[in-house]
Amino acid sequence: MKAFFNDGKTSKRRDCEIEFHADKLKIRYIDEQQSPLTTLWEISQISRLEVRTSSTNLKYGEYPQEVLELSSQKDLDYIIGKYPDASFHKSTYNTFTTFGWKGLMALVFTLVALSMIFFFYGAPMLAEVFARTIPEEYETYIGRNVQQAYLQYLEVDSSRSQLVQDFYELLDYESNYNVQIVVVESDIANAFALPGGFIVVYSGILEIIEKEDELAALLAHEVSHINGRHSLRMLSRNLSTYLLISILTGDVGGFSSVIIENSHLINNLSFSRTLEKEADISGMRLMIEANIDPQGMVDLFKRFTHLQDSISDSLAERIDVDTTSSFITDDSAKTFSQVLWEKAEPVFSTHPAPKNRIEYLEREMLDSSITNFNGKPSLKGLFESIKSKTDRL
Amino acid sequence: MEQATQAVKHYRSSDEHSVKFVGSYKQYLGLWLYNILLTIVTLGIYNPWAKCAIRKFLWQETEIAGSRFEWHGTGKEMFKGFIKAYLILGGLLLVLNFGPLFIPPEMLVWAVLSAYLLILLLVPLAIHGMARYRFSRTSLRGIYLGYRGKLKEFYGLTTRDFLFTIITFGIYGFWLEVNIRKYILEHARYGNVSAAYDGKGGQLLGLAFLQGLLVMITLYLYTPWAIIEFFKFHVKNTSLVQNERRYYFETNASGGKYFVVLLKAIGLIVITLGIATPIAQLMIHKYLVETISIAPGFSFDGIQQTEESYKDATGDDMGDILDLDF
Repeated sequence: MKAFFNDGKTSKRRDCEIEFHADKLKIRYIDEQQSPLTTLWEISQISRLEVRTSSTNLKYGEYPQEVLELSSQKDLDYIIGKYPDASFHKSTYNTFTTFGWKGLMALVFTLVALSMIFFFYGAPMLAEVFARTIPEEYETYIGRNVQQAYLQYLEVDSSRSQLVQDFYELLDYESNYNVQIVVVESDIANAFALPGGFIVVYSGILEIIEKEDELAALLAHEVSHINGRHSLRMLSRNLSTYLLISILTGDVGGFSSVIIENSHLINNLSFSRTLEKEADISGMRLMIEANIDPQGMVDLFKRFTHLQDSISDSLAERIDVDTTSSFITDDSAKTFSQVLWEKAEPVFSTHPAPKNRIEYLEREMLDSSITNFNGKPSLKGLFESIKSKTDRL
Repeated sequence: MEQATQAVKHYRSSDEHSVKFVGSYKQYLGLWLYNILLTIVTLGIYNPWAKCAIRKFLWQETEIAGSRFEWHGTGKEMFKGFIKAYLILGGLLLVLNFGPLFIPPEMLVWAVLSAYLLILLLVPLAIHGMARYRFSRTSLRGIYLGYRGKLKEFYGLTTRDFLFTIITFGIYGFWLEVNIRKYILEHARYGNVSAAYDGKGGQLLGLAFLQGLLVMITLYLYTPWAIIEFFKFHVKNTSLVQNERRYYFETNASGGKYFVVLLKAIGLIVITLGIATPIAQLMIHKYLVETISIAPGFSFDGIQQTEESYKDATGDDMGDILDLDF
């Protein structure tokens, strides 16, 4: 067996001879001064060949390590054969690097399946757990900051905010949060909820709403987003996937990360629709519990269906609101791409289509055992003052 | 007869001053898949160990003068660097991406500005730490590489050059790049062999101007050739100093061959829907590495071990903080 020995002092490779003993290797070589030397390697102290591949070096001891350079893999196999139980050649990597192409392909498919499971179930689940552990006070803190940052660019109607706030208090919906409502001046027919109890209502939506039950429904939907911590769940999901992708793709090439990013988007959109549906249904339950006619929720969506049908170009100039928990989709003037978009809506939309919403809400209403709703008479008066302010504009 | 063809085909193997890369694509793919498997199962924590294994592979499959390089770094060490990097980077990303959620609006501008400033301050630290770590964990024929740069000096250099770069609207950036390379290489050791770098900022600027022009004229088709020109510039300006003589590195890389390798690599990635990405990366790595050689006369036999142990207890604690790899 031809081998070289590096003593860790100089780079001169020395021809050497190896003798095999029960628990050690005896290496004989000639040094600089041409004098014969011997060194002993305890088998248990030989550095582990973590990734063997085609390596033919064996290393020994602490810094600076001595190195045995074997001339071929056969020689290394021979030494390993002499010490089958020794730990220096035991490594799981070595199992994988000796796989044939078939084995590798099987591994690829297992991995793809595993990543899919992890990606669509594992990561979102972890994010959910994380979102649920965030204390309410912190959630409120986040919400207040976002609200303040957001309101800087908008005109707040404080008197109408107060009226809607009073309206909300009268509804007496169940919530652990101190809900604060702000009405802002805007043509946009929308409303959204922020973590910790902050609701922003655009004056545009108040113009469209015709009945107090519909406003009650709108608020029920938003409060449900807050109660269900939807923004936070969405956010932590985005964040977790973002972090996980960055970790996992550390050495994955550009192509695969593009694929992952896109599936991430679709995955999140479907999560967004799940949350919207959840807010619709638990909003309706809130109404039923508060003795308000849940038909208001259905009517509200019917209004949006009409609105969508008759939507005009003038509405096209809408600010792109964070759709995390806004009330309706921002569909405006229809272009070709939009028609395409609508076809693909079940997959790509952040919100369920209004028609679907009406369907499942009506089903939910049928399931409810209560059919007679007294409502709250004082709501009507308050709603009229909110409306009258809107009409004046 | 057969021997004769062999000798011609592997003519480089007889040349002890050329770099050879002998890694197998199949084994690399297996290694890589195992890494992904463990990274997923451990929710990403395995990443530093994965990187360490990849580096072991790349080092020990690279051969010069009949000997293989060795990587002595461990996953545990790299994990520490990874934690440091992720804590810092994670904090910064949080401020930059999600700042509005937890920072009061009036403080936001300052928070974002300080995050950027911190990044600027961290870049030299990261480069220094990585040089220190990578050199000290590499050996060839039992002789360790090392990096003797001083963080304070390095900061002085990078801060000065960075300010000049801002003042000159980026033009001084070429000098910045060259000076960083020069500093690192001139403080690198391979036993009693030191390194040198002769590149000049002005030359790099000229090169960048010419190559940039060609890339634009050819509508980016020339890009692979341009990449190779930069590669050649850096390789050919690097030398090893042994017994007060300088031995320059040489490369016979060509834009045309590189272009072909790139095409093959990209084709492979597309056909396999990304699964063969590691193989494609390795193809490019192999091509570039194997073009490198060192001038004849450099002796791989007469090198003395000089670097102090990176495990030396006295310097360990402070030094360890600067060991970075991510």
